Formats: sequence, structure tokens, C-alpha cells
Amino acid sequence: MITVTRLVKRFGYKTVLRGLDLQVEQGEFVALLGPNGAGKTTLIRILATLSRPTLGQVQIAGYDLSRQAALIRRSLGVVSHLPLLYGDLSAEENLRFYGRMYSVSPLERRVSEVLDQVGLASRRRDLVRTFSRGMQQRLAIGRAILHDPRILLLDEPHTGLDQEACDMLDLVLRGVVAHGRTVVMTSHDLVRVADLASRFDVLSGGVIRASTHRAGLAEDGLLAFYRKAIQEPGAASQPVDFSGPGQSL
Amino acid sequence: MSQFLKATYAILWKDLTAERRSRELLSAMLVFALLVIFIFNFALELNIQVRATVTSGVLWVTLAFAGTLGLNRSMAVEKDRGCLDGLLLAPVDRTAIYFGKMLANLVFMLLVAVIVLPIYSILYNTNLLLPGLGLVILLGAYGYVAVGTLLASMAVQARTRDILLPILLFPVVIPLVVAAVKASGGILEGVPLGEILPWLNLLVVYDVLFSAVALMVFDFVVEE
Amino acid sequence: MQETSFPLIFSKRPRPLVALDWISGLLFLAGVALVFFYAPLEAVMGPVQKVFYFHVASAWVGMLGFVVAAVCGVLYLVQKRRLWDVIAVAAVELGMVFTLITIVTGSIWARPIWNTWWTWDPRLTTVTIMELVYAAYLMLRQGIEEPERRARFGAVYAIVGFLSVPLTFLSIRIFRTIHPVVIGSGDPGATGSFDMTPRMLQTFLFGLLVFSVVFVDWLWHRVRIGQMAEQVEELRLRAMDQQMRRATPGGLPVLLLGLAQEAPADTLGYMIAGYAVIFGMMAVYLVSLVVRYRNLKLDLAVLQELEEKEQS
Repeated sequence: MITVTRLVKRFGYKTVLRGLDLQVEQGEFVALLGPNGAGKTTLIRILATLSRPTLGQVQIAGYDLSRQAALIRRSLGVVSHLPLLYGDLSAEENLRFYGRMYSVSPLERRVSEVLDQVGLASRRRDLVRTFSRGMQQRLAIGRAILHDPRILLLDEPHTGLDQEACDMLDLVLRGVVAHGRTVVMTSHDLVRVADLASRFDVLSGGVIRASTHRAGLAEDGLLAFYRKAIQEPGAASQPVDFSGPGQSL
Repeated sequence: MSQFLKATYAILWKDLTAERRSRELLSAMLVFALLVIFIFNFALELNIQVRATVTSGVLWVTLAFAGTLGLNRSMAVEKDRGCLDGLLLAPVDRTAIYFGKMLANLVFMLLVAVIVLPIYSILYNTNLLLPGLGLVILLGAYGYVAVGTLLASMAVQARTRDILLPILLFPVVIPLVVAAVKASGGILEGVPLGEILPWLNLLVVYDVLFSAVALMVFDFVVEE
Repeated sequence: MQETSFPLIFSKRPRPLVALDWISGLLFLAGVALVFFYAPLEAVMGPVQKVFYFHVASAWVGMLGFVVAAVCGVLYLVQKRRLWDVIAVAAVELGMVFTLITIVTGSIWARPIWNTWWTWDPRLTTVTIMELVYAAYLMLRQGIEEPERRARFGAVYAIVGFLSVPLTFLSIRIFRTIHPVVIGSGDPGATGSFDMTPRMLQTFLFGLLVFSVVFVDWLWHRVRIGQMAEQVEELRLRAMDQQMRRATPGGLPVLLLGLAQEAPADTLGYMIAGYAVIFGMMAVYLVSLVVRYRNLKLDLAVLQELEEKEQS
């Protein structure tokens, strides 16, 4: 589904991704872990076609990123830690807007379906700026799946949510993921991610340092795996923030 | 093609709806415009004779400044909540984003003009509600917004975002403002069409040229 | 795809550039000689008319700068090579300097002739607006930190600005023909016209040639400085990057940060003022270029040493 070959991304003179390789099969739920500044957000942005690679090849859903980005977008649903929603519009208006942008049809029915799925049907007419952050994130997921994309990209969706909101979000995520979608999610929350994902990749120092399926996790679990991965030589021992100014997603 | 139009329309509708709810933009632009008119009254001595020659200038300065406010805010909304990414993720031609935003900005500017004209007429006892004037305002506002939306998309991504837009916009928009002022003035003074025509031509040329440029170049401004 | 860094070793002035330096220097002296010793004294205006020669030549160069910047803008958007961006900035800077010279000498010329420091003459006004567009260009670049985006936006604005200038000129021209009553000058055709004798024409054309050559020469130098600055920036970031990776104790980043950034009528009296302005501004700009060059050389030396230590 997603094939990344020797991906390099530079911002000016800072190199964030240094020849990264990644392969994601259909139906996998990959958790992308790593310290701050490792390049997780950058990678997600590139996969989301929001950012261009400096060097390297990216293939998504059979299309080449550098030449067929517009075709890829149809198959992508993206959730970032910013809600990407319009505060002055209601929940259903937001969904309707994005539905139009994605040519979703039949629009009204789909909007209602999605609102039910994310548990916001009762608040459909309320303006988004009255929503709590947890509700906004749920609506954001709704927005992302509105057009039934084959691939979901999530960038630290649990940021800023309390426990209950996180639980609700996970519920929605599990429901959404069950349909055989391919998911790539970055996260800092190893505990949550351990339950959700089927595969864990550690991104550090601009490349994928280690990768394992859930079955392959040793007795001491995910945390130990992660720690070991970032201790390897060449990995950043100190958090360095390479992300460009004003990066959202 | 129809997807392009649908997307443009969707963005236009979204901006108008959001504005209808919050009314932030329009009220700011209107209050600003009225303040400018009042200040002009006290700063310039607007007795009847002087007024005739100065009216069109005052009108366009007002529209230009209010327009800048609108442009800034309209792009800032997208940038601040990351919504611009949301737009960029959609499988539509980027220029649909430009068009949608531009048309929304145009609507706002025209709304301000529609409200300012009668008020000015009342305050200064001159009739500004002439159809010819409407045409000039349409042409002028279109050009202003065509360039302004493009430049605002850049300005909003810079650190010095608020002061940067006027600095970028004003030098480039001078031919448009000069033409609009002279054409409006001509219409108000009942000058023969032959004298106003060069100005109208200039307005049209400006509008067409910069629409074309903006369409070609907008992609480069929003990509990364 | 973005180009990678410039070659590490920064060369001395290439031979053609040295030749060009000499040629432009000599041409400039020749031009000055022509103005003061060959061209006749104008009957009506007196000595201040001589300001005209370099005034128009400066205006020409100012506009040339804009053309170059706009063309480089298009090239950059198409090819994404950093070189185009470096040239564009250089062209804008030079354009600004020479346009400023044009504006000030225009003002100096106007004073004894029309007894006013400013005429709303279409050409002078357009040129001043052009200067404002230049300034806006630089301010836009200043407000953006990421080099690639900065280059892209600069390119876009250079194109937009460049296209607006002829329209500006047109609008002011129409303004002047329809409205002959203008502040400061009674005559719409009054651009200080005078009949040029053959000697004057030759001096004038030679002035254009001289300034064109000087423009190319200074552009080349300024582009080299631009490339050096980029190299310094890149090396500095690389050094900081590696230093932080090894978390070595911290005197170094402070040093690196402290490195010099781009250090970056009786009308005779009027004629003297005019040429003082021309030579003065050119000299000031040249000095600033030299200072910037020296600073960058020092930075490069330090950073290259560091780089060598890294390799070993």
C-alpha cells in the first residue's frame, strides 16, 4: 500500500529525514514512534502529500507521489493534532463542506452516518467552537473517513485529550479501523498504542531504526523495545527539534 | 471541471456562512470604513466645491484600507487553525482554493462598498448611487482582491504577517487605485465617456493580467 | 529536487571577473571624464544638467535589476535551483541602490530648475514606486525563515511587482495627459527636456554602457557574496547539528552563533551635490560589499577548520 524508498527531506540546510525506508501492507496498523524532532510529523506530512520529498521515492496506493499526488489524495484521510475544522460552522456544516470538496455522494446520508459513528449525532447543529477538544478530535476523525479512504494517517491524535476523551477516541478508532483500512499513526503514548496497533516502527535520527509486529514483542514489551531502538549508535541522544517553523499537522 | 467549480463554490459558501455567524470580518471592515470617512471629514475641509473632486479619492482609500483588513483576516483563519492543510488535502485543483477565497473576499469588499456608498451620500449630501460607479467599483474591487488574495496567502505565512500585507499590496495596486479613482471621479462629475474610457481599459487590463498571473503562480505559494 | 550545497572550497576571483573589474573601473573613469570634459555646458540649466547623464543611467540599471529579478524568479519556480534565487536577491539589492541614486539625483536636478524638490513626473514617480516594491520584496524575505519558501515567495513577488511597474507608469502617464494641472510643475511635458547636441548624446549613450557594465560586474560580486553566505549558513547548521548530536559541552554553539552574520544655478553647487551622491552611494555600497566579504571569509575559514576536524 505504502512504499517509501530512501526518502530524504531537507528544510533549507537541515536534514530531517535521512534516506528513510518504509513498507506498509494493506490492512496494517503501524504505530510510528520516536523522540521529538525525529521526523515523524515530517514523514506524515510527506505521506499526506502536504510536503514534497527532497530525494527518494514514495508510492501510495500504486501511485507515484511526485507525479500523481492529486490521485493519491482521494485515498487518504488525515487526522492531525490540529482539528482542521472551522469553528464558526456547525459539525454537520463542516462535514458537508469537506464532503463537497471530496465529492462524497450521497452527501447527507454519509454525513449522518459519520456523525453517528463518532458519537456526535446529538450535537450536529452545534458550532464547532463550542466543542471540547475531545469532541473536536472525534469530529476530525469523522472528517477524515467521510470519503471512505483506504489509508488513514494520524499525527499524535491524542494530544491534549484527557483520559476519557482518549478512551472515546480509541473506541472510534477501533471502529473505524475494523474495515480493513491501512493506518499509520504517530504517537508518544506507548501504552495506548500498544493496544491499538499491529506493528511498531521506531523513527529516530531520520531513519526507521527498528520495526516489529505485535507478535514479535519480547516479554518486557513495547517500552523496552522502544528504549533499545533509540539507544543504537547514531540515534539522537538528545531531543533536537528539526521541524520547520509553524508546522501544523 | 465541474469538480473545480463545485469546490470553488463550496469554499465561497463556507466563508460566507462562517462570516454570517461570527460577523467579525464585516463589522471590523465597516467600522473601520466609517471611521476613515469621519477622519477625512475633519482632516480635509470638505466644503461643497472641494468635495466633488475629493470624494472618489476618499472612497477608494476607504475601500483599500478596509479591503486589507478583510484580506488579512480571511487568510489568517485558514492558517491559524491549520485549515489550510485541510483544503490542501482535498483532491481538488489548488487554484480552486484561490478562486473560492478570492470570490469570498470580493463579496465582502462589495458589501462594504454597498453600505458605505449610501452613508457617504447622506453624510455629504452627494448622490453616489450611480450605475456607472457600480461598474467601476466592481472592476476595481475585483483587481484589488485578485492581487490581494495572492499576496495575503504569502504574507500570512511570514512572521511579520500583519504589517506585511499592506507593504506588499499597496505599491503593486497603485495603477488600479489611480484608474479607479479617476474613473469614479469622472463619473461623479459627469465627464464625457471618452475621457473615462482609458481608465476603464486600464482597469480591465489590470484585472485580466493579474488574475492570469495569480492563477499560474498560486500553486507555488501554497505548496511546501 | 533541491540542489545540494555549493562546492566546499571557495575560490578566489575567477579570471574573467578580475578582467571585468578592470574594465568597469576604466570605463567608469572614462565616463566621468566625458561628462566633465567632453560634454558641453548646457546653455539654460548650467552645470546641474550634467547630473542627467548618470541619473538616467542609474534609472536604467535600476530597471535592469528588476528585469533580472523577475526573470530569475520565473527560472527559480521552474527549475528550483538555488542559484537563481541568489542572483535575484543580488539584482534587487543593486536595483535598489541605483534606483535610490536615481531618485535623489532626480530631486537634486529638479531643485534649481523648477524650484521644487519633487515633481510628480511620471517617470520619477514610477521609479520611486518601483523602489517601494523592491523594499517590500526584501521585507517579505526577511519575514520568512525557511530558505526554500523564502526563495519561492521572493520569486512570486518579483514577478508580480515587475508586471505592475509598466501599468503604474501607464496610469500616471494617462493621469498627466488628462490633468495638466500638477503640483510643482506647470508643464506636463516638463521633464527637463533640452536639445541634445551630438556630444551630449555620445556622453549619454556612453554613460548607459558604463553603468550596464558596472551593473554586471557588481552583480557578479554580489552573487559570489550571496553564495558564500549560503555556504556559511549551511556549514554553521551542519556544525551545530553534529555538535548537538554528541552533546559536547557548550562553548561552541555560542561561538557559532556569534559568528558575523551578514554584516550584511548658480547650479554648480547642485551638480557637485549630485555627483557627490552618485559617487558617495556607490562607494558606500562597495564598502559594505567588501566588509561583508571579509566577514564571510573569516567565518568560512573557521567553519572549514571545524569541518576538517570532523573528517579526521
